[in-house]
Amino acid sequence: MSNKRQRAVSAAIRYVLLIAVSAVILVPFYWMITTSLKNQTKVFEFPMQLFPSPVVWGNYAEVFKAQPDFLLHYWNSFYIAVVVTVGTCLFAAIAGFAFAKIKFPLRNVWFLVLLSGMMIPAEVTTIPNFIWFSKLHLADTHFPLIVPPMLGAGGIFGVFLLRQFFITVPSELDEAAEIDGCTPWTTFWRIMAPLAAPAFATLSIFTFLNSWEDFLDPMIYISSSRLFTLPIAMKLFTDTAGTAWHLLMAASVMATLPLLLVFFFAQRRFIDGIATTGLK
Amino acid sequence: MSKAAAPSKLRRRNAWYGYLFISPMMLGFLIFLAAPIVYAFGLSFTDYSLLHPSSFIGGDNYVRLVSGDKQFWHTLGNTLYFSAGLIPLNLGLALALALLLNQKLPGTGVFRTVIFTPVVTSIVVWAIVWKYVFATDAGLLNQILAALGIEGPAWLYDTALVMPVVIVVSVLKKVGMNMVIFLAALQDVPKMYYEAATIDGASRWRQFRSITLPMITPSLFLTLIITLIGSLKVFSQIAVMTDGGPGTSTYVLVYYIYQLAYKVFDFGYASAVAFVLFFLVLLLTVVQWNLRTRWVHHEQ
Amino acid sequence: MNNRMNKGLGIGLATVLLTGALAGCGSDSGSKESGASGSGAPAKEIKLKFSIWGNDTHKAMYETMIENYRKDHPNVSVEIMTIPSADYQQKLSVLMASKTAPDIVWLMERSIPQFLGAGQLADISGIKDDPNYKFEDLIPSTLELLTKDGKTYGIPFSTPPNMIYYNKTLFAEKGLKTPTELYEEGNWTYDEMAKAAAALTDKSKGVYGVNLIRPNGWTTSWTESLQTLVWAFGADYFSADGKQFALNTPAGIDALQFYSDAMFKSEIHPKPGDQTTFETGKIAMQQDLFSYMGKAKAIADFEWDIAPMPSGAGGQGTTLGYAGYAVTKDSEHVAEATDFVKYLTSPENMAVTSQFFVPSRKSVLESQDFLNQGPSPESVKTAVLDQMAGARVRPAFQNFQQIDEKMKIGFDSIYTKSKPIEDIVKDLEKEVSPLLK
Repeated sequence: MSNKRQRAVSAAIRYVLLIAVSAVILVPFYWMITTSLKNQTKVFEFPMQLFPSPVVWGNYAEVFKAQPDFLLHYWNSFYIAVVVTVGTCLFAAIAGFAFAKIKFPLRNVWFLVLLSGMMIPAEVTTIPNFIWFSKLHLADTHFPLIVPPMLGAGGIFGVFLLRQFFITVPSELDEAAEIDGCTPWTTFWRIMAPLAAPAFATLSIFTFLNSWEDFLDPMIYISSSRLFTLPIAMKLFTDTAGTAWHLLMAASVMATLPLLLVFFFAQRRFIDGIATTGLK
Repeated sequence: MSKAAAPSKLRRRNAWYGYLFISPMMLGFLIFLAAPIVYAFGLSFTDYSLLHPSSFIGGDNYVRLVSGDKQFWHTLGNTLYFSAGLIPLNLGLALALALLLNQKLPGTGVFRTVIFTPVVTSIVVWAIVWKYVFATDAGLLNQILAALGIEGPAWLYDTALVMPVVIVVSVLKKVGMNMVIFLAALQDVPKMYYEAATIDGASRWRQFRSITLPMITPSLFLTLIITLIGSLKVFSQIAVMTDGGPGTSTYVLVYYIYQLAYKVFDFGYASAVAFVLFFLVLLLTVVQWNLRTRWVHHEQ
Repeated sequence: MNNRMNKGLGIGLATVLLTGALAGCGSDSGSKESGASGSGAPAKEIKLKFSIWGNDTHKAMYETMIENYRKDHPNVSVEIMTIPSADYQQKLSVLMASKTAPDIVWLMERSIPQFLGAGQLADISGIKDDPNYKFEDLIPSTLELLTKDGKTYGIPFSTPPNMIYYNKTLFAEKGLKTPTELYEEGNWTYDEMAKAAAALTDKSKGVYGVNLIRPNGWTTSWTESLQTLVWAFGADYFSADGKQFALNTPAGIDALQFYSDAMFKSEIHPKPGDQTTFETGKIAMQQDLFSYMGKAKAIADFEWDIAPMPSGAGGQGTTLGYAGYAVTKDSEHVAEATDFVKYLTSPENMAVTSQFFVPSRKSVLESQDFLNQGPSPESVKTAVLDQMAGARVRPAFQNFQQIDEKMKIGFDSIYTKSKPIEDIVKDLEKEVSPLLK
């Protein structure tokens, strides 16, 4: 009996704590959504409106009128993240496979050299990269947002992750393939790559997220607003006449929603992938 | 089948493939990491600027860094303040949440989802909304305080409050990630250890200290290093929420590098500051590798 | 083996390059064929780039103009490139340095000395030769910044004096004399403004009497919002020759003390970081530029009007905003770009741009159409036209970015109340003086 009560009390405390933390985390989402539905003049209503009245769905359409390029910025963010993700997975996988399964001279030396790249913060390399890209007239393009993340530090993390994965694959498998006359490429493509699906999932999530929320690089490299990605496009809602908070929040909702939806539907794989692959 | 000739031919072919497969990454490493770091080191001995011709100035930048630039030391101090505030809060909260969620109670899935949600929200959006929540008059927080009859402070214009605000916002963004890693580690702890301990009459706290903590130490340590390195490179939330201000209260290393390089175009000096960051990260990585191999050994 | 390795590397390189080609979608290679125009031959296709920091309504206006331009110049196309104002100078510096700058650029006053000093702007004096252009119609004082050694390096298109937007409804509720009325009586001073603001402030409703900070202007306050106050108090940031820091004077301290007290003592001015805007009706008097008119016109909940800046010991201290068109020296089509600038600043087109920008042409400025842009022709005449002669352009420096950074940091100390005003100006003097030499 007392044991039961004790357990009930401990469960209650547990829930109170969890609800408190969750509530704080949900605050910005609440504020973002309600503000996005407020009339512009009600944004600074005093005392504030807890729920928008009237509810102005038109703000969402207004975003595209106020920023006709919003869809373009969306597309820029999206295609860059996809190219970086696909590229990282491909290049990291073949390199990881080679380091794990193919015997070639100085293999481990090369691997260590590559791994040392993980110690170099991308922030330190931006200055030389910026100077070179400017000289090559690549500064105001998407090139610096795609290729360095793919083949730089982010890619090396992928090599590390996938090498770890391929090492766990029993060597009988690739030996048998070799005897069957498979070239390393066919072994990789037909046998290893499909096996690595969970590792790819994890790597994709990280790479996509990093690219999607990258702020420093576009800030450094991109000048023309036509080439903006979403994170820096957000500042277009602020001009010399102030910030259009209702539109900025509507744009924020739209920038956040797709990823959240993907996450909600795939969260088991999402979280398990992070928890189980290499990171623990 | 002459088994003697084939393997050597095969070996040569395979070696060829090996180099082919690693070449994109090796080239990327060379072009985007190795060469830049060497070049940046060279730059740090010049007064290179986009706006005028540059010249070699020896160690002047480093002298300026060590003895002449109060702003740099202040910036370094701010960065360490940010890390020192972020690490215990982030890891402590993540561990506490993981322990709370480790027991199978109804609704834990929902909480886990909610707490993880900020991880998949763009940092810029996250910082913009929080900036608005902490706004002086129209901000949600001060409006709530006003309703309670309290006049809220100018959160982002108060030298004492601004860094704690940025720390809390950063913790909430990433705590879900560390929580999930801890959760996975906790689930790997064999149940029988706890059963045995309960039979021996060990208290909850005792069980946590003697079983849980030692078992998850590797995860704890790894998240510590990753979070620490990440915190030294903080930029986005600072750029969005405070712009380094008020005054220089939230100037951190990467923000300072950004200012020096891309606002004033003082690439030479910015490279010298960047090298401080490089050495800090290098040091931490080396420490991590050393301790990690020791731990792995210890585990076996 | 070595050979094989090279081959491997070669293929790897090819992969990288291929990826690069795919990734380069964003880059506009711009196809820079040199424009040997004229000389009877069929005109070559010429692409010009034109950078602005304006918003989308500005862009739409220019696009219509470009379409009209193409009727006479079918071979010329102009692409508009928008760079947000906060990064404009910085981004343009980078583009100039890598010789990829647009052909035609908007420039604000603070960035002109840097680009002009570095020889990055083209001499477009030829524009004067066409009598139809009516160069003499341009107000001479507005041309000074873009003139060097008698040569013209650009044409201003927006020269707005700052002014006060006020909420007539709030003034009527309290039965107060409006700024316009006070101005006409000759009593429109900072003291009177503070008095009125105190009467209008209503904390329970979140209403503030006066806001000197322009929207979103807390971080740029010293130059964008407070120059007028400093001048009006008979002080200045810098000496006339720009070589000395000049704010550390009793008048300078008075000006900043007045501002600080308005925020923290009498609390008639919004607190640092506040984002409340005039159109919410929570600000009785707001300092802003002519360009705010567009937003103000959308206000439906209350009546408003505009008035000149109040005066202090040093006069009104009205500032003249400043933006001009210039042609970059590294452009491959200087002649065509110059012709386009000429087109944009013709009397007809400046009349079009005057819907957003206070024109630098006398004939357009004094036209009935321009007077009708505001709440009433009288108030536009009082608050804009009559103020032009006395208004001054803010100082500009070659190393503006560095000075700006120090000034920002210093002014933040007012907001954080971390030092008395006397110490703030003293420390600023120490920090900024070395940058002025």
